[in-house]
Amino acid sequence: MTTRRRLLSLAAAAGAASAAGCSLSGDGDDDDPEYDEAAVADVPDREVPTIRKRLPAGVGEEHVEAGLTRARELLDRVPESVPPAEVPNEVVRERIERRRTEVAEDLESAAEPEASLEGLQRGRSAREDAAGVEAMYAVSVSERTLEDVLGRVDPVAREREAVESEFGYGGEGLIETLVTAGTAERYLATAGRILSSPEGRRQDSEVEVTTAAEAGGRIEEAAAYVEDARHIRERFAASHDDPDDFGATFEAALESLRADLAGRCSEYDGRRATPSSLVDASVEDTPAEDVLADQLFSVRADCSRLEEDGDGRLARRLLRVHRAHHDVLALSEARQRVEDGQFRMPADAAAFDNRRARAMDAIESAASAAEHPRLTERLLEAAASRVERGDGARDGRASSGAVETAVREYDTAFVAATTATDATGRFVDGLGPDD
Amino acid sequence: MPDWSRRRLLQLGVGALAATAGCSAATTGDGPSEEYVYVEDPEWESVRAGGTEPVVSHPNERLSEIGYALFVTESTASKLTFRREPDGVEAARSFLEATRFDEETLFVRHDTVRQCYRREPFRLGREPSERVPRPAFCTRLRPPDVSCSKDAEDTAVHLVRLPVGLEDPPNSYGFTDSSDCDRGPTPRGGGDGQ
Repeated sequence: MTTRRRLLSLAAAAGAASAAGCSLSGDGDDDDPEYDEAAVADVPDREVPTIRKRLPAGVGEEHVEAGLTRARELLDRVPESVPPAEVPNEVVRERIERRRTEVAEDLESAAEPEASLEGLQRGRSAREDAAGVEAMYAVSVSERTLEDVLGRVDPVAREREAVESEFGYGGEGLIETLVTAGTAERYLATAGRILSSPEGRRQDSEVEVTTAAEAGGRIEEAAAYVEDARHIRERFAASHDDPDDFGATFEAALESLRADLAGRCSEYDGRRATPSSLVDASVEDTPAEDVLADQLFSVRADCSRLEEDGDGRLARRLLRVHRAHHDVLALSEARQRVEDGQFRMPADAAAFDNRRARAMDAIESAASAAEHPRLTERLLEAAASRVERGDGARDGRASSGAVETAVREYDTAFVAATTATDATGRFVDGLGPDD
Repeated sequence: MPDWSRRRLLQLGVGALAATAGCSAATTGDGPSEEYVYVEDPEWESVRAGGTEPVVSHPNERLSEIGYALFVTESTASKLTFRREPDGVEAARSFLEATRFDEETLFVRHDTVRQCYRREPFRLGREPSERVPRPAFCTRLRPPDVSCSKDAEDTAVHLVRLPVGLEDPPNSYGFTDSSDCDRGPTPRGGGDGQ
């Protein structure tokens, strides 16, 4: 078996070989993987599929544009060049000007509004950044005080409560209603968390201008989250005439799905379970050990959250349960495959290539599944990110260490993708009838 | 006499180095432990003058070069001379003169600071095993309406009363610098003379 020490020595050898312009070969131990540097480097970078979470009723372009317009308006209140007479402290003056330039450049690159969840995210960030520099300037020239800036917390919090109180679980289509409501609930929860500590983590709390910049930006971001939550709910509501109320369905489903999940969680309870204890096969110092460890970590995080999660937001909690069921299923799949001897170091560059291709195929296959794509793509987004991380770990290197790291990401992406459709199917079965 | 360990001496060296370099972000280690004994209502006075010309001098202490000194008797402290007359210098003189050396010791720090920042004492504390508390300084950005140039430097003198009388100065002594003024309790009163 290839030990970690062995891998390290291979990595060192790879570095030396690379420096000498040679290809890497093993030192005679039959168990050692032998990689041809050039072959590993040439593993084709088939483009990672773009998996984007979508909403059933989409996102309005005019709403995204309004967010960017708001950011521009905030930024326009700050002069490009701040006169020394306005802000005599040169360090403060330069910070305002530098930050203004950076935010303006970001806004310029976002000139084309993108009607998507990513577009919403970009709009929120733009508003946060612009409001931060605007608050810093306003406090610096004594237009406002830090207290004035913080005074916006209450109205935004009231608006958040108003949007939340309007929430029901009415809509057309069980999954469509769940995804829309869950996304809106997550936005409102995030806004609430920001508003509970608007000043964030400060380094120098007694410098009013920097605290104002942080708070002004964060409060604006919270306001944007609230507006986005309202927008996606209203847009969804406008997309149908005769909504069903899924509140009772969601409540009953949450109870049964959580109970089912709690039973599965008990197997991984406490600190007893380790990657080695989950399988009979020996996995020490192999990619299999890392795949199991990663998946075990996710399952434990899901299970502990299950116990803490009592915020009353049904849809958001159900979507978390969906993810948790998927993680448990992926761990089970990983265990089975490790028992079958999979997830070992690839023997050569061709085997390495196959591991990446296998992950990509699994993602593309799951993404093309016709059943409940809005749910499954939520799981596949993370799997696609794993492949990208694997590519990043390998970037230009062919050492055993780099190969091991990349393979771990590819294999984790593979088990996630290969179980995504099944996890969604089981979850939907647990939701109950769609009517 | 306290046991001044090698580790402590090294820490002090870092503190002194940071002070000499005028670094705003200098820190020494992870800050005080939770068992640190803080001085309640510490007393200090600061004075600040434009440029880097020395503000105080002493015939036996190279204050502007070494950066700090401890005065355990009135006779040695009385030889401190203010060579410039910036705002707040009278308050500093009075502070010096009012120090009771039978039960107090005077710590004096002579420091350069970037013009758009202020460095100030923000707490006084000691390890339980030590007898003499050490001042901790932190650096803040000055308010936007303070006229200053980012490349210019000022000189500041900080006088801190240590609530302990000493026969002789300890073999080694020092202070800490930090960019984080939020660590630990911020004492009331004291040096806003900058």
